[in-house]
Amino acid sequence: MRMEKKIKFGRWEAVALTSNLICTKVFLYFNRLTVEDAGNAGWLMAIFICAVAVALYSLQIWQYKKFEGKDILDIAEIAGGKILKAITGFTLGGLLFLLAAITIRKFSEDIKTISLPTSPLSYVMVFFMAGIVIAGFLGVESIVRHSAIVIPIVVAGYVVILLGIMPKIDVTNLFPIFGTGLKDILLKGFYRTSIFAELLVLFMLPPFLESYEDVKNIGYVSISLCSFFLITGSLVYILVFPYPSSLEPFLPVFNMARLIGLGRFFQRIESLFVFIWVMSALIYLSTVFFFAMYTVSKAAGLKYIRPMIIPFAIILFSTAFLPADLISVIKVESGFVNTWGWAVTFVFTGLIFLWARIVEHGRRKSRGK
Amino acid sequence: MSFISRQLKKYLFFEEPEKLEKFILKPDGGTAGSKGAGTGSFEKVREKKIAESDKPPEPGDEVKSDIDANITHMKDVYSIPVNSDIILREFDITYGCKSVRAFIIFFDGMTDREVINNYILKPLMVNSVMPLKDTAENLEDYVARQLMPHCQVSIDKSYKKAVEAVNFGGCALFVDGLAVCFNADVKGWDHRGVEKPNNEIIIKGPQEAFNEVLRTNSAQIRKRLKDEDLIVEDVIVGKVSRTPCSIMYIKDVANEALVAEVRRRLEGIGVDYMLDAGALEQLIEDSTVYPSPQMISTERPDYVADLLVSGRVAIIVDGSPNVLVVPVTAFDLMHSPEDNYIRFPYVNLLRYIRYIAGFLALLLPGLYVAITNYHHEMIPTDLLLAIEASREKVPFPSLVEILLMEFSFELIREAGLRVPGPIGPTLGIIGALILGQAAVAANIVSPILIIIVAVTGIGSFAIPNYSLAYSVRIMRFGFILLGALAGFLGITLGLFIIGTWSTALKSFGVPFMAPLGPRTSGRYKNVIFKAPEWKLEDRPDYLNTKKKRKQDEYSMKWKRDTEKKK
Repeated sequence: MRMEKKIKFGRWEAVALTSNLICTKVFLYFNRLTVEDAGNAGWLMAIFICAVAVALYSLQIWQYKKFEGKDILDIAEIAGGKILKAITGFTLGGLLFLLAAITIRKFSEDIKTISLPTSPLSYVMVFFMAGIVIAGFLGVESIVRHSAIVIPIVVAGYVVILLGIMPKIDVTNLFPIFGTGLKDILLKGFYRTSIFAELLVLFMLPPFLESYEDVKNIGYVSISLCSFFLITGSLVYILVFPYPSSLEPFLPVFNMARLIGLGRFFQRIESLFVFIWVMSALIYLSTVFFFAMYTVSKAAGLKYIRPMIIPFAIILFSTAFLPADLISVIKVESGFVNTWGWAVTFVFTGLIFLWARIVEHGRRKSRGK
Repeated sequence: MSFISRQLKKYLFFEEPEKLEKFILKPDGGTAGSKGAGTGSFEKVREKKIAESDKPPEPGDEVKSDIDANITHMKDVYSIPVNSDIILREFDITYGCKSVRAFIIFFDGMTDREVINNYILKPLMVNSVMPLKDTAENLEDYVARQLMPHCQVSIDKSYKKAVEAVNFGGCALFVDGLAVCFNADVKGWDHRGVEKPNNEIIIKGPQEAFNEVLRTNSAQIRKRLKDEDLIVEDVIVGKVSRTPCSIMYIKDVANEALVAEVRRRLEGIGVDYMLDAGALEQLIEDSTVYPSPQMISTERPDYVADLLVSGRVAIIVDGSPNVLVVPVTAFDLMHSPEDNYIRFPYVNLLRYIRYIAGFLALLLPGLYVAITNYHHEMIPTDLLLAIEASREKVPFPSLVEILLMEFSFELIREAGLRVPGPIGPTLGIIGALILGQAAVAANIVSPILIIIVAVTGIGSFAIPNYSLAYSVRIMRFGFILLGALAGFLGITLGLFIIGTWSTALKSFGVPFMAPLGPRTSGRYKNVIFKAPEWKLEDRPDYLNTKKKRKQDEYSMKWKRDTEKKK
């Protein structure tokens, strides 16, 4: 006889999980992305992105109020039956899967560049895949709890980088204040709200959380934390690397870490930060991978997730190799995910919430009659 | 064919698993609803034990009133006269004007002869002829209440109880005409006394350890916790060895579901022999494969008493000087018994050193391999030149070097355990010195590697828990391999796997990484670092004990009174 084990997370665990999903981008490309779009006003763009994210999230969470305890797929089922549930599940699962494939490819390329230049890319990727598969078998509870312990260490490491680089900052790099112009900041910034695409995982967490208040608070706290790190990361990067030379570094945070030096002995310690990068990446990938499978399995009405782990891992591995090189990966990411990810996370889910509210309202009215 | 077809089926088709929900320790003493969990309530257990003791014997197992039938039965059971250490002594008891036949049966070597002679045989044989006022209504009462001046005598109606008593150092008395037997506890085998601990040596604190006798061990704990609510519940484990074990807990503190789960696991062991706490640990732990232990095994009664006070449950095994305590978390394994006896600044310094030692023992060799192979830029230039100069003549890659030295160190360690007497430690030290020096002189390894291996070894000795130190030794090799394969990427993968696995693990329903993963209420202040003794007001919240507080809010009342006077 199969028994459903009820998994519950605490608030702190959910905040750590969600924050890591968004802030991992700081380690990859976010700082350079903002500079590409808005010049040395990238930090202003980061502020604008976070403000838009808060506004869109507030709208979503207001709509979600009536569906306490239900996740996005349950709400889609209320809105449009099993068909809409399946469409929603496969869409969101597909987006998460795509994010996982892009991120694993990017991280593997980064690590290959930094540490393992002579190793084949597949060899590097196997290490990430091993972590993802093992975490998948151990379950979401273990991933979430592990992130609750490790994320503060990752954050501490990141703060150490920011503090260590303080001697190199030059305030004049901030000028001109509005960079390439207000239009770029606002218009491109709106599209770059796709940085918060992983926030849709928050609407898969309600069955694991206690109440609506938890979901609301977790969302706001996560966005606040992420905003802090995105803005400070972008600001410090611009303060250290003047525009346009800040467009050149492939790995902004790595290049910042390379500049840290304390006397003759403590130099070139950027390799130490490989620990926090890789740990952050592994938690991100295992979370996104798990929720991709969870979404697809729920959409398809499958009882178990475990049998899907190995096949999904193989598909993920193969999908990550589809782009021919890193430039193609960046093109896909910039052109699609970073430009339209917000539409799936905020617009698509928002429409589902709205539709479900209308259907639910209609049902209540007819019951009342 | 059936084996092949089963294997094929297993790999080709997914079978719905028979899921037994794992035990989760809940606050109200209830379980997570799993089937097969214990009944929980202390009152129910008490009623069950009373019912068991009042249960009539099974058909065929009742003691006969005819003494010859009893003699024949016992001779048959004990294979007399082939079994040469069993003694069957016949004698007569005077009852009124009659002479009644009787016999006792016991194992020579397991019983105290003086007690049998003076408090069993002498009263029965000699005192029965004295003109005592016969106040007993019948022979059974007369024997039990007047002729056996022994503190532990039970009257049973089944042969099974008699055999159990005799097998564990008791003496069974059968009297003609009575369909009962009198079982007296006359244990008297040779055993070790209460000695100093061998493995958990501390400077400040009690110097007593457990020995192999169950009741001595339970008494050692009881004399420290003079609490009538300290319960010692006996369980027999092993169908053939019938090893007595005791579950110890404080009734009004420990979570009933936890006690029930311990009881359920002990009662659910289906082995013939269970001889030591180490074997029992493997039979009741949550995960066999996970490197780290999931319970504390200690030889110190003061440590067990402290753990019981915090709401844990202890399991004592007869014949073993180690007592198991459950549940534990990963952080509990880094605590030492001495932490309770030294001051707040020193204990935190020691804990800090222990965590660094653990980190070094686990990761230093792996980091060395990773840095020398993949991350040379990390090493300051002067140090890099020194390392390269020392490694220049070494023909092996750093991975082979380190595996060679680590393996040699493990060999010396293992061999040193088996060399007798005082030579052992000396041989270990000299062997390590000579081996290391000779290896460097022969350019097999570099000098810096000797330092790495030595620091790693010392670090593993600084880990207070013996089993945890073993697990670190095992995991270290994994990290060396991962460091060699992929540098810091491999090591981080190893840390991720260990971290995720640890957070997935439970120890008797308590998450192994509590209270950090999952985060609990945070009032317990003895996780990584220890608060001052007067600040340890609360019990660990993840144990969901009946009483949360173990100290008054102002435990130093004298100070408060002094301040008030001012």
